[in-house]
Amino acid sequence: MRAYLAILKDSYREAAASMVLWLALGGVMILLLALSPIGLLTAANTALRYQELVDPEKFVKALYDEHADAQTPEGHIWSLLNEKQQEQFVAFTNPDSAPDGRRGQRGGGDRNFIVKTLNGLLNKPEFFNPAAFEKVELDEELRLPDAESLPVAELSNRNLRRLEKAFARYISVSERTALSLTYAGFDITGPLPILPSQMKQAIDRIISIVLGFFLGIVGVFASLLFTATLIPRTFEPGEISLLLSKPVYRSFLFITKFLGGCAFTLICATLLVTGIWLLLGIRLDMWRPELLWCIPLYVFLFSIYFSVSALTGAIWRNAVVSLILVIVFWLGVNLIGVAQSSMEEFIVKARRVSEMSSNGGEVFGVDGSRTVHRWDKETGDWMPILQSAGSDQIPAFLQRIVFSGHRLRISVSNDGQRILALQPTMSQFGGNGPSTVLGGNADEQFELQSESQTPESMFGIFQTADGDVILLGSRGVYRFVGQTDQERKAQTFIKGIFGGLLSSSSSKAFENLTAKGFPAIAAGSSVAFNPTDNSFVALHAGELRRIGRTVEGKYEAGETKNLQWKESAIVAAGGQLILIARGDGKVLAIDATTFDVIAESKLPAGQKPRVAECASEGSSAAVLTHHGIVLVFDAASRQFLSWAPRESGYASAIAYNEKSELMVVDNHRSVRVYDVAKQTTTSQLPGSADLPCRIYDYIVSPLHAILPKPRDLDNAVQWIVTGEKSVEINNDQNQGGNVRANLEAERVTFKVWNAIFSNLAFIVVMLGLGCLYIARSDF
Amino acid sequence: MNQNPDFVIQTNDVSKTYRSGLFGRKSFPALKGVSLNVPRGTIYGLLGPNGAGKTTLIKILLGIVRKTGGSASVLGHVAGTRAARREVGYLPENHRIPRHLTANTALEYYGALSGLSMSEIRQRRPPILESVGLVGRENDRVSGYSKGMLQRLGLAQSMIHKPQLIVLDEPTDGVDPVGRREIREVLQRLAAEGHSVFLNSHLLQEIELVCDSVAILNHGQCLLTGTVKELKAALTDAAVFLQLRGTEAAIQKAIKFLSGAIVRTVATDAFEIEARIQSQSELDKLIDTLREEQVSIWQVTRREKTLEEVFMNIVGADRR
Repeated sequence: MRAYLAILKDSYREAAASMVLWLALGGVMILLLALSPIGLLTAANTALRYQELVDPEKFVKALYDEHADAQTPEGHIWSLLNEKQQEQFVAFTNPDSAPDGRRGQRGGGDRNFIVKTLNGLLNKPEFFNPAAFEKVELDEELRLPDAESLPVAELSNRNLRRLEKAFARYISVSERTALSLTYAGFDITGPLPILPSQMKQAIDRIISIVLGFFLGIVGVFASLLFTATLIPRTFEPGEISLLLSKPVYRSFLFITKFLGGCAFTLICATLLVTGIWLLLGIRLDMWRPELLWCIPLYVFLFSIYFSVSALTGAIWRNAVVSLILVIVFWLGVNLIGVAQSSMEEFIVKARRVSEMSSNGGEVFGVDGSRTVHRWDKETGDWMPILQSAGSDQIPAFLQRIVFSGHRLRISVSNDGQRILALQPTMSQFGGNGPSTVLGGNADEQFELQSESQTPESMFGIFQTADGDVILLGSRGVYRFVGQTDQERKAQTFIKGIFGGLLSSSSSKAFENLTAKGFPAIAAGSSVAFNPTDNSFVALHAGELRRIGRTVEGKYEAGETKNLQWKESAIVAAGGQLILIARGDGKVLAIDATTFDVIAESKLPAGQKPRVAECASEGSSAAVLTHHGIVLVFDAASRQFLSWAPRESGYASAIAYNEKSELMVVDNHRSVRVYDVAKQTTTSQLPGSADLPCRIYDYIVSPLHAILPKPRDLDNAVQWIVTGEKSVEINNDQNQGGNVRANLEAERVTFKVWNAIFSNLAFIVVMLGLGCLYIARSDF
Repeated sequence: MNQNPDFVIQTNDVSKTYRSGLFGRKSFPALKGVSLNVPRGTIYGLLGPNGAGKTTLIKILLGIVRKTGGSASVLGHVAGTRAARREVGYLPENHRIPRHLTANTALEYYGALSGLSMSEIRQRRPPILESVGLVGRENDRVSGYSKGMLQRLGLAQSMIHKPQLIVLDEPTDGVDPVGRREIREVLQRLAAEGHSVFLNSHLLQEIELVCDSVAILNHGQCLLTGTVKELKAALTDAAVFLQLRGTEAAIQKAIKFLSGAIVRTVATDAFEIEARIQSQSELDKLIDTLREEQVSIWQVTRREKTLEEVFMNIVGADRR
């Protein structure tokens, strides 16, 4: 042991004697010194943020409705707008009246325009007119006219608070303070467009990028350059003879030299990571000891490449050859990694069933490309439905990219003869845009028959037992009465790359069922339809709200309960049962009447829920995580079951059929139906794999599995830094209201342990080959 | 193979064939059945021209190269095992000590590789450095050392763990005459202390000066082994010179029984004879005959060959 420790010690001596190390350390120190004056300044908020304008349409409408009365806040603000701004605002409220014929897009661009316009007014002293704000309940400080000497920042802050007070229904200022980036005490950015509460997330991302670049790329390559000569030099005749004449094992000598080679990276990584950790702690008071895990992680990343360098160095005993082969290896593994991830994304995931619904003996599913399928009993396979006859269908791969953050929320009628789906439209990118209702029925082989644009952004579409189609939006509940033939003919499809999606709205297709006083459902809420009484439950920031149906068939707000948490969550309802699955992994079964918690459970560590489903009469409920794990609650025993469907771990969707049986579909589109009470399989719909999937399953995936995955270690850094095992992709919900994770959106899962194990196995193989070669060689 | 404790190295029919090319199709026999025994406590020299297989034999003894056939033992252990290497110190030809080390850290490094503790290294380092003349330079990086200093440091590292056997491959290569003398003194001191030294050198004078026994290798074969004296004696061609006074006729008559004797006239009555006389009795007979013929014998000289001459004779004969 002493001998091998001496070799390790010598590696550190060699590193310490190297000019390259001192240059690298100098570079790291300069970087840390350059970063050290960075700080954050918390100041009063002076501008409205994009997401704080909760309901831009209503806000603009309110301004326009009162614009003639300058003694109201609405009229006063309207008077401050210039002519062009006023015209634009008019266009928002009534697209047909826009002077240039331009339609109000009701999208992000318009909301941005409104926010910018308002922010342009906030720093003006004339924004506050005591007469206009007389009826607004303002604090004493805000009620008084502002002194002329008042700094602009203070003036803006006061006006922002006045604006919020005057338009509390449409504007919700998230935080009273704003953050600015400072350097050596100087404010260099002004108020940042992120909330203080988002700061941690932003810093996490910056750290991931900084570490990923300086250690993952620059550090690794500098270390490879430095160590490229290490092994070849060791095997020079004059040195190796001397070493091998000592009582040491050849294999251990090689492995110890390899470990010693990692010394360079260890020193650099230790300095940089520790420095950043100290800077975060001292400058930003963010003490994150878990960050120190990045040190061994980056040494591990380096050791993957170095194992190749060591093996080639031992065989060819030439630093240049060794370095070239490492670069070839780096390119190779990255190419294979890209090929694998592309195939997984655009073939495997695109084909996988991500949503499922069943009724009347029919089973429907939505694949990753957001194409709706029906299980065809005759062919024993999934067949695409709701296809438009024309050529205006978006290509599947594009649909996957565009809509990966959305569910189609298919709804099947009780007899299984009609299917409806809710597709987001392009105009929804701004946040509060409408959706498109897609529909088909059995009589017409489920071809796409109806396509209507909803009045607003919808949370879901549901079919009641008596055949009504109900939609819940943030501003109300609507009944879909379908398109008239006249409307269908008049419908204008804007041809283009997204042709079929941009259809005109069908005002007569929706009947408003909203009772007076209906509360706005915040964007980012999770809603569930309870078919037992045709009611809804909505969950937002821990507040659970019932939306019940009156005898007149209208929908009104029911009781609410604050469950005292801020976590994002998804909800399912049926009979007397409500199931809530939180982003932190906690799962609650709740009584639908009293809102009391019946049972609690926890998803396995690091798991986030993706789907929650409840049997229609509430006998059972299940949660599916992004990692395919299924957790089942049994209402009869009032407990979460330790039993899980066989597919748990690789399930891609779950649903309950009309018999309240749990249906689980696996990654290969095979469906198994379970009787939860008996915990047995009642039937099975076998899946099938086409040629590309077979190529992926039997060639690409195994090849990728056995090859190292250094790229995946970047995810490990993100996991360490953020604590998240997966990251959400294409989350539009964040832009809509209060920032909440959209749990239903697809997530990129960090296969951290998978990457670590496969990379470790690769290193072991490389070192094993090196040991074998050296053990059998003459020197 | 029976291991005799009197020998530090025993080889029996050791052979080595190097293979190269695709699937090792080309082969080159470096050793062709070398057998030799190195007595304990001696300085044993291994002689041979370049490519004779000397370094290969040493590397086989240390396990750096694997033999193809035969058997070898070092200090009673199978050659090349860790147990054998633990008791051997080795100075390779053209050795390379990492340039970032100093004499002190190099001895620390190689001492630890030989299994010594730090305290043992600290204790042994000063006298060894003194014995090889590196005191005062022990904290200088070896990158600044001369060739002679590097050789001496190499010698020091081979001795740090007090091995029973020290194997030196061309220890004086590139060293100036003063340095060579110092190295010779170190070797003699080691021998005096009871260490065995196995020395490979192509400098025949060095070998002759310090070695007790030698083996001569050529073309992978051991041509001759024995003490230096034995070798020189065995290969001396029995040339005897006699300076005589008398008549040429008397001299010619007296040497009639010798074939190939050469008579050279030095003066009118002074002659010199060079003759090959194989035994003492033959010499006695020559003297008796000369005296009977009234020839005066002024001087009788027997001429001994140098090791170099012996080596050239043997290697030359092998080449022929």
